[in-house]
Amino acid sequence: MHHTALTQIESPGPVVLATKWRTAFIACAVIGVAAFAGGLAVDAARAWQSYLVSYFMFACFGVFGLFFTALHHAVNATWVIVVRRVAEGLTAYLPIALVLFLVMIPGLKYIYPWATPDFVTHYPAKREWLSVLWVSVRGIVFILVWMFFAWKLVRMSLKQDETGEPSLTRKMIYWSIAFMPFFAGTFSMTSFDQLMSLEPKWYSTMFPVYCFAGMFQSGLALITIIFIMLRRQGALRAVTTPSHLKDLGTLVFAFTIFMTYIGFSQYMLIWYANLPEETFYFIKRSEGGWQYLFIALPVFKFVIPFFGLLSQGLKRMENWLLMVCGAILIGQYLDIFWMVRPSVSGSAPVIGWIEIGTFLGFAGLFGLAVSWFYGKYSVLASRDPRIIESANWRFWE
Amino acid sequence: MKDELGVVVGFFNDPDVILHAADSARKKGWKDLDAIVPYPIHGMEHALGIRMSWVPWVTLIMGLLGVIGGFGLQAWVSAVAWPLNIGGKPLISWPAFIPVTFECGILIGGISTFIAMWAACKLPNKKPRIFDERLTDDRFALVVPIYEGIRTDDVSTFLKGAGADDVRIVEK
Repeated sequence: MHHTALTQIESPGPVVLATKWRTAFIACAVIGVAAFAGGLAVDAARAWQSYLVSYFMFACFGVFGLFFTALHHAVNATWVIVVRRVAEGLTAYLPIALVLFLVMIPGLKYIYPWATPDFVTHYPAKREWLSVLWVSVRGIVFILVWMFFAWKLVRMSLKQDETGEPSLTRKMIYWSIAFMPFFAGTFSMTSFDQLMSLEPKWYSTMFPVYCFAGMFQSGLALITIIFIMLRRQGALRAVTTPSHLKDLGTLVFAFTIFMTYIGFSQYMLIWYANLPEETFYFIKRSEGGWQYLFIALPVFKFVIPFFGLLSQGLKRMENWLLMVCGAILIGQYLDIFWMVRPSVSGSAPVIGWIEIGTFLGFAGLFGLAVSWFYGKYSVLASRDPRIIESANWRFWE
Repeated sequence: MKDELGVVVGFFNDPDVILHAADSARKKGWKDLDAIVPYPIHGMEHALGIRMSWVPWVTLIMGLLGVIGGFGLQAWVSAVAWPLNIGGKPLISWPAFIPVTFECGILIGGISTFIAMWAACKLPNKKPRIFDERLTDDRFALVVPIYEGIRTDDVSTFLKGAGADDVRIVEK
């Protein structure tokens, strides 16, 4: 269909969450607290592990909102400006992630071998880096760095909503480029500290890239889902078209390939070299029931999104995109669960009420934080100098 | 398909004007429209009534065949034709085959696409139609083929009305 080009953009304003959703999020948060508290009483290690899985998944979403915003500025992209505020909204979770990280500090000793006294005598060389104090300090500092850049970028973006000042765009580009090296360092070390150190003997130089790829793929899936929700609600309906959906779908598709490439590379190199100090990580995770999960990962993170998003027509269909992105989010949870859980437990994989309850708790808090942002600020950067160009972006129609 | 009797070419100076002209020409029911423009104009494919190309299907099918063939070749070579124990690993060690499998998919898919593109574009074309040298610079041409039942005068009048500053009739 041939669309007439828009010549001016009205700000759609904030989108206040429907009461039933707010109630649902609050209920999820309450369930989360209850399930986690119950879990602590039953099996503390398992409860803290499920806490870590959900914590890492949602912290990644928060920092991905910031990274996506910065990336879009750094490459000077135009079509994605209509999506930017969606990504900026995800950063509203970062302060909550900080609090939830502080909550996790007393639990470190249940899940990380380096937090136990035994470790110090066995691995003297690693005790300086991997100690409760330093891991906690690094974790806090990294989230503060992310919050600082998020505050800078989002504040300028919101200011532009009022003034329409084009020079702010230039400033945002500078700040975004400045953020990139910080992001690379902080995110890599976060993945070392929080996931790889679960197996302090094991190391893989691909590991931060693996976590980055998982964050990128699942973060894009989440942004696509929120974008579709806001289109359905109507706020972004006037300024976006299936062309924007198709482009988001293409990005998800691209990072599906990236995720697959990184995941396979890490596995193949360790499999090929066959060194016992490396292979035990995968052996532990491919026996005793874990092999089913190991096979499920490429299904959720590669087969479904790859073949699901291959066709241009399917990428333009909201319902289809929602399903594929949902599968990716399931895959991301399973992936982190698969990385975390076998480190302490020798038991078969069980996703029971502790895991689901804790996940719901994080999802509830995340939903409340992010919807607070969308309910307070306009969901469209409506006075960006290139917003009209972005809204008029068309691919084949 | 009926024989083309010739073409009427309208020359335009503005990409938006030619886009609308192409849209109206398609709505008049004229077939096989073509636009010769110095750079891609978004929406032009739709305006001209050009459907999705069949080339991506060639890429998909040949790419998948390349994947199957690449994996099959390695499995056959290392397990059937010349079984060789490498590092005590199983004869069909699939992780080791994946890079070559992937490359075969890309290679066969790529070469097939290249050949299919030539076929789809009917290349090599010995008689290129050069209507105006400025079409690679700042002019835009809409080409309306004339078939039986279409009057050349109607097309000329339409193109002038749609904003063409020059209309030429090119006999076959």
